[in-house]
Amino acid sequence: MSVSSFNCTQCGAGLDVLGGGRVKSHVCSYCGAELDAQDAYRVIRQYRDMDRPKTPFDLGMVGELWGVPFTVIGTMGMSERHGGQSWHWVEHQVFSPTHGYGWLNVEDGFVSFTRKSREASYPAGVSEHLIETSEHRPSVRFQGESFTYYASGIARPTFIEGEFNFRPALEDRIRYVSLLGGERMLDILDSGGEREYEVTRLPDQAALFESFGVAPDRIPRSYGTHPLSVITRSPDQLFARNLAIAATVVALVLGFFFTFKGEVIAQTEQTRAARNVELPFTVTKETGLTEIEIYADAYNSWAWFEAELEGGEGDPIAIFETGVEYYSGSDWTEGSREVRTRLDLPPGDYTLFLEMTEAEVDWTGGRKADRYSATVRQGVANAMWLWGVAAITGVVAFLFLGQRYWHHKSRWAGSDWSDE
Amino acid sequence: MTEQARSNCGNCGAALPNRLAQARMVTCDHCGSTSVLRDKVFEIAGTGGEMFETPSLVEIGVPVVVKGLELLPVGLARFSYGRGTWDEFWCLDGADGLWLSADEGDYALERALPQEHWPNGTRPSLGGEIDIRGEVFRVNEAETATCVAVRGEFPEELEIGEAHLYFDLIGPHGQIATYESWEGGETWSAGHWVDPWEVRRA
Repeated sequence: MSVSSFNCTQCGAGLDVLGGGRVKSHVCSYCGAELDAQDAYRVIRQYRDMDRPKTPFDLGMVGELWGVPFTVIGTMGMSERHGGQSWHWVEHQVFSPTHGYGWLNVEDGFVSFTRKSREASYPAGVSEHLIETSEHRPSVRFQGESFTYYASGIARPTFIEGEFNFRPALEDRIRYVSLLGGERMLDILDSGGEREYEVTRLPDQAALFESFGVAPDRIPRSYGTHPLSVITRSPDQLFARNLAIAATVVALVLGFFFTFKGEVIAQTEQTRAARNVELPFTVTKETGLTEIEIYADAYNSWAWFEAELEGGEGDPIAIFETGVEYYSGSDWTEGSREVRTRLDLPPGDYTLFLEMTEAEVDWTGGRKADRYSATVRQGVANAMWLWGVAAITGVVAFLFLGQRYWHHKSRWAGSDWSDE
Repeated sequence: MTEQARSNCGNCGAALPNRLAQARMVTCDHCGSTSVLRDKVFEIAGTGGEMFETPSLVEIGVPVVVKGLELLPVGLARFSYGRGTWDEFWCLDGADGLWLSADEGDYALERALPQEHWPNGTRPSLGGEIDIRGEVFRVNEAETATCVAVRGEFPEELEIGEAHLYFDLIGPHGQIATYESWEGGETWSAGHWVDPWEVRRA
């Protein structure tokens, strides 16, 4: 681009004109004089002893933002103090002959891009009173999108250099309310009786630094997660995530289906705890497992059972012990009143001998198991492999969804909102 | 242009573009002279001025889509406000046509406001509020600009070197209205601001 220049009317230093015809103010990089760009560069005021902020950008740097070349024309160091803490960031005014004026903001090692909008939000603003008294984060609608309260405060300039399409001053105090949308931040600014709206996006950081020709040793180190950073997944990753979720759901559904499938071949009545059970049954199916389900009416207590299984000739087939425990509170339960044992039994006659050997209350308001029953099913499928598939795919799905959850949490970590 | 309109440049004799029924002024592609329709005849009016090339999202003859409207820019008028310039593109949209202004990334799409909707008896003043079609607009900017160059076709006569007084008014929901006056005339237009990222080639 063609660059014109002039000499500072205060100190005589040569200054480049980078910012187009709408520039109103030019602060000399050498002497700090603020010059009126619309009145023959008349000196408006003089700034002295401003601390130059650290930034990877210099005046005159040119780079592309979403395919549009912008030139860095101004630098403002900004500061905010609240509750004994202070925050510092840098705002660079940038200019494109075709796309106008905007800002590159350098904060916490991230560089975002801000432009003014002539559209207003609905409601038009978020008052300090609403922020202080609202039980939930206030939100507004803007360009068809919902934006939720993120932070607010009062910012002030600490350093001014270069060209601007307004007249900045160190005395300026800008009250801002930041609201976060999907991939955009909306700032509602109140300054000097005027309300303005600004929209911020986060460009691809590596591409931006490369485009502006920032030397590697000047690229800032970023801290945390920027509120505008989003997780972008490739089509392959999206396919893998959806496949993992679908496989988990299918495996769980099939697992439960096979688990509860089976034919009841014997069942006892509800039996008093003190009495033993003798339950004969005949297995006719050659495939599938035989399941013995024991139910006890324990409540905030546990019960223990000893079981013995004999064959048709009275020959011992299996001896096992098992127990149920069930606890419940106002909004929680733990354990189960049922317990299942599966055996691989060939067709034939069998008899189950069952005894409740011990039961005890070990939680407030508990009731000792008083009755129990047993149910025998045959042809029950072994769903272990389905549980295994569900576990593996479930872990993969959890990692995908967990990553999004934690990313969402970290996006909002910088918010000053408190639910208290 | 009417059927009776002469379609040759009065300066060099080259054929003038004659596709526009509502064109009242046209510049000659060959010599740059401007011709104005008077009594159904295009008469030579002057030069089109010097049009320096500047970066722009809009070009004469290249259709663009703006806010869902497909527009054909057919005329470009450049105005100077001293420190810089802005461009006004006269665009056809199949209806009455509209103006697309481009000023260093600030784009606005405006149609002429029918005279019955002009604010009655109100002259804009900087910072003042004006009711237009039941909505309140605030005068945001006042500027005197000079027409420095024209190219293409226009629905009205523009004179190189003529000073125009502009008042830009900001309305609700991204609306803009403009009051423009010049020696012998005035007009109101209204429309919407346009995000430059919403201006794209059709």
